[in-house]
Amino acid sequence: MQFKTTYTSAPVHSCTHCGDSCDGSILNAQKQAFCCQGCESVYQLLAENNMCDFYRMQEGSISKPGSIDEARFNHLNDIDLQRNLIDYEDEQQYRVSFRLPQIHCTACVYLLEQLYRFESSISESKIDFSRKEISITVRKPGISLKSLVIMLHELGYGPDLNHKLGHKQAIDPEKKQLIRKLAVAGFAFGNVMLLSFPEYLSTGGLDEPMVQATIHTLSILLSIPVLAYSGLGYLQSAWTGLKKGILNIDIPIALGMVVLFGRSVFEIITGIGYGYLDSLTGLIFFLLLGRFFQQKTYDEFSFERDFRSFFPLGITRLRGSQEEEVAIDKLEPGDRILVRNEEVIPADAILIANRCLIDYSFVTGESHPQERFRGDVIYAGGKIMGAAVQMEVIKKVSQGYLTKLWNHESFSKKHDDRFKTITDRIAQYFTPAVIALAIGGLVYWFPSSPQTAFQVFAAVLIIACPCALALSAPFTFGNAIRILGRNKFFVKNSVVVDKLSQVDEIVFDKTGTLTTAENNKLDFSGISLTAYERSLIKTACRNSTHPLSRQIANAFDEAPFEEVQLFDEVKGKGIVAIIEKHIVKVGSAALLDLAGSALNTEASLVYVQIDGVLLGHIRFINAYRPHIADSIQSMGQHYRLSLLSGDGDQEASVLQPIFGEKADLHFRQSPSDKLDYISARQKAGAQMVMMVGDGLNDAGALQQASIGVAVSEQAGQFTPASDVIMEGQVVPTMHHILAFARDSRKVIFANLSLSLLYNTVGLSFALTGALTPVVSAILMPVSSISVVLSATVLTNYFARKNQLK
Amino acid sequence: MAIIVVLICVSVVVASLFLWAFIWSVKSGQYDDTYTPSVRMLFEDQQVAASTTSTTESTPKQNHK
Repeated sequence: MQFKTTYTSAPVHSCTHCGDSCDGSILNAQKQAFCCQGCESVYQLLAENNMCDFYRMQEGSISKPGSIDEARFNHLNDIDLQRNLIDYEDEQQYRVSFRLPQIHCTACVYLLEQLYRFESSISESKIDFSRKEISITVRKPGISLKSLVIMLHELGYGPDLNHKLGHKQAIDPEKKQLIRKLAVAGFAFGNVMLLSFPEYLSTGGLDEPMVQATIHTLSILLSIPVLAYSGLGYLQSAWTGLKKGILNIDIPIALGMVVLFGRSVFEIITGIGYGYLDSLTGLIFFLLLGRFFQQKTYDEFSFERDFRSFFPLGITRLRGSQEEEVAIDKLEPGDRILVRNEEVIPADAILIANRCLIDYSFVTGESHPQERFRGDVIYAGGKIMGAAVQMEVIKKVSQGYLTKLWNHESFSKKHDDRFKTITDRIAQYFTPAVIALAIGGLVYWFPSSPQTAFQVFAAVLIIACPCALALSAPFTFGNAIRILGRNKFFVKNSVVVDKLSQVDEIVFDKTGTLTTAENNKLDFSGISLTAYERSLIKTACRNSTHPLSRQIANAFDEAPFEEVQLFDEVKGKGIVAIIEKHIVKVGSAALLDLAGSALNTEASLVYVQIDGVLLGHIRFINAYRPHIADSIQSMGQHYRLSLLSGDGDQEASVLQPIFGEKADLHFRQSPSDKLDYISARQKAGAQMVMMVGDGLNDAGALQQASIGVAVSEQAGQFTPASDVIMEGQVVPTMHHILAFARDSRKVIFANLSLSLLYNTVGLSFALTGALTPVVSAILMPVSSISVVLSATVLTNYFARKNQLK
Repeated sequence: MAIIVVLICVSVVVASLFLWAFIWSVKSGQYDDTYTPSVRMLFEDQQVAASTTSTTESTPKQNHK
C-alpha cells in the first residue's frame, strides 16, 4: 500500500459513564474521557457524592442521560395532571411513583435509592426492581414534580409518565386473593390429613368416643372455609356455566366438591363412616396450586398499551406569541403547535417550518429519520429530531391517521370469548359422560338396594371429579410460559400458549421484524472509490459521533489519517473536513447544495463529495436478522406464511424464494391494509392467524390477529398492545418456539390419557359400590401428583428437544 | 386419653395463628416485591455514615480518604 505505516489508528476511549466508545475530546480534571456533556455531569454528581461504587456494581449498558429541554415538562405544572400522577399528598409531604424503563441492574437500585444525597428534600426513594418502579417521598416545600422528573432524566432514568397514568393501581388484587385462598386450603388440607391418620391406622375406628367426636367436628369445621372460600370460584364458575348452558370443566369439579362434602358430613353424623374430607381439601388445594402456577405475570411488560401510552400528555400551543401547555385531547384543527426536539407529534398536522427531520421508528420500525418540508402533511406518531418546529393541526388527535385504527372494532371486542380452551373442549364430552354414568349406576342399583344406589351415585361423582384433567392444562401451560419467558418470548397468559399450539397461518411484518436496525448494510453507488479516497472518507466520519458517520467509519477498512486540518459538523446536514488538503464533504443533499429532480431526498442517503466532485451516495439498508431465512423456511413446512410490508417491492425477488412460492407477499401496505388482510384471511377460513410485527403501524393487525406478537429490540421499549412480546434477537429461533408449542399439546394429551386411566380404575371401584375412604384417599392425591409431575417433566423434555433453554 | 383432645385443639389454634400471620403478611405487601430486598441488603452500609455527615455539614468530605 502507498500509505505510510505510521498511520496507526488513534486510541479509542470509552466513556467513563456509559462505556460507549468516544474520541476523547471531552476530558475531566482527572483525565477521564466522556462521550458527551451529559455523561460527564452525571459522573461529576456521583463523584461529589462519593457514589462511584455505582460503576463497580453496574452490569450491561448505562443509559445515556438525554439532553433536557425543560420546556418539555411544562405540563407537569398543571394541577389536574399532578393530581393524576401523585399517589399521596398532605401538608408535609407528597409521594409519587414512576415507572423507569431503564432500571436494569443492581447499580440502578443503588443509585436511585440514594436520591436524597442529590436533593435534600427527598426523604425516601424506593425501587421495586421487577416492576421497574420507583416510589419517591418528598418533604414540602421541596423539589417540584417537574424538577423531580427533570432530575431523573438528567441521571439517565427518564420516567415513563404515560404508563403511569394508565396503571394507577399497583399489585393485582386477584393474585393476592389467590394466595389467601391457597393458604387457607393448604392449612386445612394439612390439618385434616393429620386428623385422618388415626382412622386409617386403626381398623375398627377409634375407641374413645370423645376423641372421635373432636376429630370429626374439627375436620368438618376446617373443611367449611375451604369449600366456601377457597373453592368458591369453582362453584361460581360452574353456576354461570350452567346458566349460560355451557358444560365447562368446573361443573363436574363443583359437583364432585359438593357431593364429597355432603356425603362426608352425612357419614360422620350418622356414624356410618369417616368421610372423605382429606380428599376434598387436598383436591381444592391442588386445583388452586395449578391456578397459581399458571399465573406467571411479567410485571415489566405492558401488553395492553394503546396510543395514549405513547403520545405525549401535553403539547405547547401557540396563541399569537403566547405559548401555553394544553392536553393533547384539547387540540383542535387550526391550532398552531410547537413540537420540540425528541417530542412526539400528537396529531396529523401541516409543517410550517422550512424543514425538519422526523424519526418514525415507533410507527414503522424504520430507524432512519425522514426529511419533511414546509407544507407537507405530517402524520402523528413521529418524533422530531433537531430544532423545535411549528405545525398547524389539521385533525383532532382521535381522528388522526394512526389513532383511527384504535377506533376500529377489533380493539373493542374481546377475542377470547370465541376461543375454547383445550380443557373446555374436553369438558364438553366429559361432563355429560360423568353425569350419565352416575345416573346409570343409580338406575342399575336402585331395584336391588336403594341405599347402595345412592352411595354409588355419590361415589361416581366423587371419583370422576376431573381433578387430574383440570390440573393438566394449568401445569403444562404454566411451565411452558416459564420456559418461553427464559427464551425471551414473553406470553401474556396460558390461553395464548394454547392458541400458539394451534396456529395455522403466520403473517410477518418486514422492517424491524425480519430486519434489524442494529447492523445496517452500506450500499455505495457512484464512481468506484480509490483506497485513498476511502481513507479520506473514513477519517472524516471517524471524528463525528453521529450514528450514520460511525457506521460509515466502521464499514471502511482502510487506515485513517491522523491529522485533520479542519472539522465542522453541520447539525442535521453532515460533515465538512479538510484532510491532507482535500475538502471532504459527507452528508445530505442540503449540505452539498445539490439540487435537481434526479436527486433522491430520502434522508437515509448520504452523499460524498471530495474537492467539489460528487463521488456518489451511500444508502443504508436494514440487514435481515442472521439465520432468518432458515427459520422462515422451516416454519413454511408447517404453516401458511405471508408478508406485509410498508416498503416498496424492491426486495420481493429475495423474499419470495425464502417464503416459498405459495406465500403471499404484499408491499406498500398501510396500517389499515394490514388489518384488512388479517380479517380477510380469517374470513377465508384460517383458524388461528398469528401476526408478528413491531411498530405502531402493525397495531391494528396485531389486535385483529388471534395472536399478536410484538417484536421489541429491548425489553421495556414501547410495544403496541399484543398477546406476546418477543425480543428481536429471538426472531430467528421462532420455528423452535412454535415447535415447542405444538409439542405442549402432546403433553396435554399424554396427561389426559393418564387421568382417564385413573378415572377408569376409580370408576370401576365406584360403580361396584366398593369405594372406601382408603381407596379414595390413595387414588385422588396419586392421580393429582402424577399429573403435575408428568406435566412438568414432559414440558422440560420437549423444551430441550426443541433447543430451548 | 382426654389430654389428646386438648392437645389437638391447642395445635389447631397455634396453626391458625400462623395462617393468620401469613395472610396478614401478604395483605400488608410483604410479598409484593420479592427481588429488590435481596439486592438492597448487599449494599455497603453507607447510608448511616452519609446521614451523619449530612447533619454535620461543615465537614462533608471527612470520610473521603
